[in-house]
Amino acid sequence: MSSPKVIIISSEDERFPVDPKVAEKSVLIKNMINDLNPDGLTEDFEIPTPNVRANVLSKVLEWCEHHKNTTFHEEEDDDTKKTTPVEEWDKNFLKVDQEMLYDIIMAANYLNITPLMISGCKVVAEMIKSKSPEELRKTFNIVNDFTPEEEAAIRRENEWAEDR
Amino acid sequence: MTRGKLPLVFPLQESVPKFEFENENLQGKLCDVWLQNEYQKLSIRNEPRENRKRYRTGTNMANDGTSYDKESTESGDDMLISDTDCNSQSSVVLSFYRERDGLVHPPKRRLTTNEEGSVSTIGLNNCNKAGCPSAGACGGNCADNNGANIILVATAPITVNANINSNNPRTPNSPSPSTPDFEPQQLPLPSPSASPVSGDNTKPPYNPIESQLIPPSTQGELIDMMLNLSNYLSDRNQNHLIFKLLQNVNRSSLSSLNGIIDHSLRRDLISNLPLELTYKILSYLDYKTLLSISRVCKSWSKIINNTNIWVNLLKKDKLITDDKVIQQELTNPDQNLNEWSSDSTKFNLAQILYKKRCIIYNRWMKPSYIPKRISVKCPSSKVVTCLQHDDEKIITGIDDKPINIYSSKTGKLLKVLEGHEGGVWALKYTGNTLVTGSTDRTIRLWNIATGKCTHIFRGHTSTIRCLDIIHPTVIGKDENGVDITFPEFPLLITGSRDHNIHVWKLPLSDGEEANDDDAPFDCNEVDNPYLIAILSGHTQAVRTITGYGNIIISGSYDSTVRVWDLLNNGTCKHVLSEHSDKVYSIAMDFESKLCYSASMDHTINVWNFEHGKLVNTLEGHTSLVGLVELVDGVLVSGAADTSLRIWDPKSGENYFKLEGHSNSITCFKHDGLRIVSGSERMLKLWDTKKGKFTRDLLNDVSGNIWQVSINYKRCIAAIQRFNSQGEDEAYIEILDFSESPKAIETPQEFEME
Repeated sequence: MSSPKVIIISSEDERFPVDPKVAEKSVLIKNMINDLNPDGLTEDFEIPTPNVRANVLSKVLEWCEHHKNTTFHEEEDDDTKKTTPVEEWDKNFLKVDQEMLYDIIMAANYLNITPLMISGCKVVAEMIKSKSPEELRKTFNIVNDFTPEEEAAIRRENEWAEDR
Repeated sequence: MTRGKLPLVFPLQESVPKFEFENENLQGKLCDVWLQNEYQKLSIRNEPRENRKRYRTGTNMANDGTSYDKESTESGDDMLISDTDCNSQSSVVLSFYRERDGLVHPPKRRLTTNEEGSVSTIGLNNCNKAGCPSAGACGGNCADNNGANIILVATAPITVNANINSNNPRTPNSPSPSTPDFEPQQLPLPSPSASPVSGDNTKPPYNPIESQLIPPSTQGELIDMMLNLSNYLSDRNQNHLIFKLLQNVNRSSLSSLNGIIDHSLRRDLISNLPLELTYKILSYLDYKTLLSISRVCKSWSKIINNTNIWVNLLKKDKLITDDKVIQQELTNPDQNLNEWSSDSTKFNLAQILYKKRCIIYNRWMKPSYIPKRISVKCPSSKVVTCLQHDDEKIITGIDDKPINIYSSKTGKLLKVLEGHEGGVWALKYTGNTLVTGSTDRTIRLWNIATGKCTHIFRGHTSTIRCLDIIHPTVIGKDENGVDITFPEFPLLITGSRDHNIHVWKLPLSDGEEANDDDAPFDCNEVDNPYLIAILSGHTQAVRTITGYGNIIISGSYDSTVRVWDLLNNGTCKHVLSEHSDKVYSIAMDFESKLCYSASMDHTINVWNFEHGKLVNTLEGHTSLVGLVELVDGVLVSGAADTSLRIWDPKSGENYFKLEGHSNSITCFKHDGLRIVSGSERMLKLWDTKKGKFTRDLLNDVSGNIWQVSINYKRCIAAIQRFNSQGEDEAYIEILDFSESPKAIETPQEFEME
């Protein structure tokens, strides 16, 4: 008999059986497993994640699987970490449409998978970095709702930062 | 795929539908689904969670293309989001009406539909009218190619949507000139969502599938019929059907479709994520990008208008690293801070503070910017041996008795403190209390505001060459987790050529004391109640000393570095003796328990002062290393070999060697961002991060640069210059980079009286 699995259940009741090691990349799930199985897992353990749909969950679990042996340093607010670029694998992994990216970040936040959440945030930051307001509007489908006066006022205040 | 093999023409043909595209319950009765859909419509209003779930489930392109847009743009409102819970058909039409007519509909509108059996009119006509921005062009297109247009019209994105969905989820922007006869109807009862659009007849509430099965005779009728029939499917099976249809779509059309989908999935990630995640994202961005964000739209502008963002950026960019300074600047802003903003009422104070600091920093780093310069001739030409400054004053010690205090703003000589009987070689002030050490073997304490000497400390038997002040600080926690603060009161430590270190309680001058006439406290060593300890052990002059918490570290001409522990009665904890020549300068990091000693033996040793172990030897300088300074995690050394070096204080890696001086480095100061260094005739500015020369700050010095001191806005240098008669003169040079951008005349000085 194979070792017990953690079965994560998506919002659509899709079932994802994974190794506990993979599931425990989620601190939320890890705590649930530990709290409810103080003596360790003896049989399959079901965890519903009603906030996460299957599509996203499979993606998130793909990340967990890839990183099951990675150790992450937790001091995330360290200055050096702020400037560390996103790891190459994560970067490719997160080359998805914006809806999926949004869902992955939300899921990582909900499931408490900090490194994935940080990678996601960094990828979004990369999408924003060094873009003009017009480019940003295009990238994120945003309507400029400033009045010309408001826009001029902000522009005046920010003039100093424009390339001199 | 093997090389040379052509890609599949129908790429999806071999894919397997997953998750929401899988089919379900194929035995399910059509009427059950119909009923369920209707039931959902009725119950949905009270079930926001269901609603949410539906929203989240909605990647399927046809049904829920709408929900994304609605959630992310202001034009969508809650009503519409909920509408996606039921069959999206009617809701989409509603949004179309709303936009077109500018009507505000009551909540019940969710149950409205505006249809009748005339399903057959929707597809193409609707495409013409509502779906397409250029009704004329599209109309022709649709009419001519109607049979195949699901794909062929793909170049007109909206039309495709309209066709797939029989409605255009993005209609808000689509003008529709000719639909005067559409009227939404209130339905008291559930109505079949299967008949999405158009017509002005009221519709019976029940619509069995048989009514749809009228044999179509045109392509358009067939499409409409298929669309309507698809509404008898459950959500998931509808998705499955769409997937099946997509399997018959060829590559290039899929690509067009992909572009449309991808575009429609763009969303406002900044406003829609939870705020803490948004701030996380913003924390990775530089100020230019943040300012760009603030110009995108109102909600983004509002997000950027946040104190924490700018405070964190100030720290990250090392413009201000001390939280206390930031707090002080924000709670009690400099009166001219608002001169740095075009409208200080509109913008966040922290943002303005960042702006000010960043502009000033950029001025330093831009060689073409000429700082405001004041040159002050000193009363005597004696060597300036020590110098400290702040925004109000510059205090100098010279190789002579008087101590001079100048105004930082005007350069005016404000005060001359007299009392010492020999040259002053060590000086430090904190608040209003100044301490000086002299060749006359005494230490004097002064009230800076009054200029009076308050105390004379005797005891050293030779010149006081170095001194430091130790402030009460938290050095750890006791077993109960309570902070241990040490020392209890400020201490003064003095190092002398007599080989000894004295530890004194430092009495502070809190402003102006009443009795001006009082003679200074003066007492011999034995009776002096301020003398706490005499640390003996060095066998040569003590050249450098630094203290923090309970630890004192001293460097001596006897080539050793000694660590003294005040918690243990000032006993010498370690004698660090790896240097082979005199020690000139010391830096310490209390947190990491590391200290750095610069020596005449050309090296800098890195020690763990807790264990007394040599951790590293930093090699590279080829002559006496006279100066070492650690600020904000950057270690800089200056040597007689004319170079400076930047090191990683942890690993000891030599990041950069700064070359350009033509003589021994006589002085330098750095703040983690910039280094200002002096040697004969040269005062240079370097970029710490890049490790590069930035500019010469003074070009007209004919003698030595003795001392330099910097803060974010000013550089103060004490220099020597030869006049036309060849006599040497001493000058204080003030370079001010902080002129207000509004170029208002300097605000009235508030100097010390």
